[in-house]
Amino acid sequence: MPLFRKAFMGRRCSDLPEDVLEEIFSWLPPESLVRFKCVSKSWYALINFLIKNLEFVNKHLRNIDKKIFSSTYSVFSCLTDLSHCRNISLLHRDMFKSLTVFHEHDYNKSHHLNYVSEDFRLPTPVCNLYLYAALSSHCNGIICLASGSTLVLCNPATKEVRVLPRPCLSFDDLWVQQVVFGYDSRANDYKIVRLVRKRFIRDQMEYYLKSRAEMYSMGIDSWREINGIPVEIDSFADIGKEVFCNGVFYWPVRARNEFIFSFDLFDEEFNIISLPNNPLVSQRDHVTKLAVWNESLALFLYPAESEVPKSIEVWVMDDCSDHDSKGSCSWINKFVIEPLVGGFATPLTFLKNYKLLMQATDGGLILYDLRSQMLHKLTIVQAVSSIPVWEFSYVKSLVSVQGGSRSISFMK
Amino acid sequence: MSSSSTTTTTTRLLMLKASDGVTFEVEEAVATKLGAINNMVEEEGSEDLICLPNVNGKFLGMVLEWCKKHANNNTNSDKGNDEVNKWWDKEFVMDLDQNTLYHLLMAADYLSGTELVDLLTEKVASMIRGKKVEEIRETFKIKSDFLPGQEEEIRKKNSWAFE
Repeated sequence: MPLFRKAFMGRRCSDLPEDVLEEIFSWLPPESLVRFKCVSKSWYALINFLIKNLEFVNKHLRNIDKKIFSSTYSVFSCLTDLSHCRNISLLHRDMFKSLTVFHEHDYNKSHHLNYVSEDFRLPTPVCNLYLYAALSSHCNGIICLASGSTLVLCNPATKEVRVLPRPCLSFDDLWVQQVVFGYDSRANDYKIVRLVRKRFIRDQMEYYLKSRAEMYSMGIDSWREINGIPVEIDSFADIGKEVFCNGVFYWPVRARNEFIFSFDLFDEEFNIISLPNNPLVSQRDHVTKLAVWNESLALFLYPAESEVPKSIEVWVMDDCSDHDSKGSCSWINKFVIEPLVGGFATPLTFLKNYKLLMQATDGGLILYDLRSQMLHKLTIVQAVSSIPVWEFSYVKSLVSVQGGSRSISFMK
Repeated sequence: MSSSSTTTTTTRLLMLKASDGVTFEVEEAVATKLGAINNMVEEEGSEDLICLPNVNGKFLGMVLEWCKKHANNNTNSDKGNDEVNKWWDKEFVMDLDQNTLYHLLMAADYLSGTELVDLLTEKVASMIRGKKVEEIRETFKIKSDFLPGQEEEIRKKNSWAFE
């Protein structure tokens, strides 16, 4: 049953029935939809109705992955512009770039790769958010930025931005360890998990209390503390190296030994997962990096020495449902990426259609086709002499940042 | 679906009659890719002749060509085949003119060929996504019915989408 017909019986937009028009709209990017509000009164009413309708927004999101015409994968990155920034530690986080690569379902054209790079300036929120120091996380087109006790959600594709209610764990002297944003499909709700430690100074020494965790739910628009952190985590691996897969966050942790720390959004449970049983893991000089492969947790594993040509092992977590208290999950050595011609590149993330995004030593992005083993240099990113400091697969969605009943008007 | 199941069950043939009297003889497995036909077959059971007064023979033929391809391809579905299907789909709608696309879409919608509607609406969307408002009005034969000033107000509010 078409959504609009239920709400506005009997109205027609042009020659096409609303249900067909609704189907067409579900394939359009947000900016086209917003522009087409100007076509006529009935298009205006239909589009306004649809972009506020959860069922339509979810269908629009699913269609992004299903597209066969102008099928794309986008990477959203935050760049360090070296020309404007002498001190590399000062990052220009208000300068975002989305890189969209067009994928052709055409074997003859597989050598041809089109891509466009677009700039995104984040809509400036009313509050004081130090973008330079903000933690960021992305899911379904929404970016979550967090600095101290200030959290902001924004959807660059619809220009929506919202400052969130103050977290319940907001003390004066606070170290925010992690802020992550994800979608709980079972509860049909977007959630944020925040890990913090309180800092205090005694006898000129700095101390930290135990980590505490809290969760924000967009559905009810409020925070609450969650208990049950199974282990004290002094330091996570690099910020922004977590992955989100099927309602679970995974963080790489390098303490006395290396493991993966996870949180399930639905069960609200923390867990510890051990790495694959592999000789490389027991060696000291190796690199591990988390990724998502075909909706499963994956792990890149390669030796750390920079000089030698090296291959990258890709491990995929098979089943973690029946893991015991020691957190033994079964890992499968899925495949090995042989040393690339032209030097080593760091694996970043898997994209759809067997593509792997990598970063060359000069900072440029490389797209590697796992099946044809072809390399494509994405020169446009290099051209601005910038280094992406965080990157993720990005989609232009209609998902609203408004919480609660979501009745607040869109795009004010 | 395995190949053994198609050999054990006798292939039933259906007659589909278009608005202009053109008839098509198709296997049941092909025709039931269309939700509307599937419902008729399930409800009426024995009837072998189905009249479709809202679809012209030319477009019914095209819809059935799509169904045939997808009914065959579903028998050995794997990842690689999915890619082939997508490639075939793309070719299928590649050079359709606006008029054919419109009638084919109306036929697919009427016959509840959900996957085909998906394909055709995505094709339409890919054709119009970058267009200006005036071009959309021309394509869809729509006259602006906004009061003076209303359209400008919407444009002003969403100026970023018009850049």
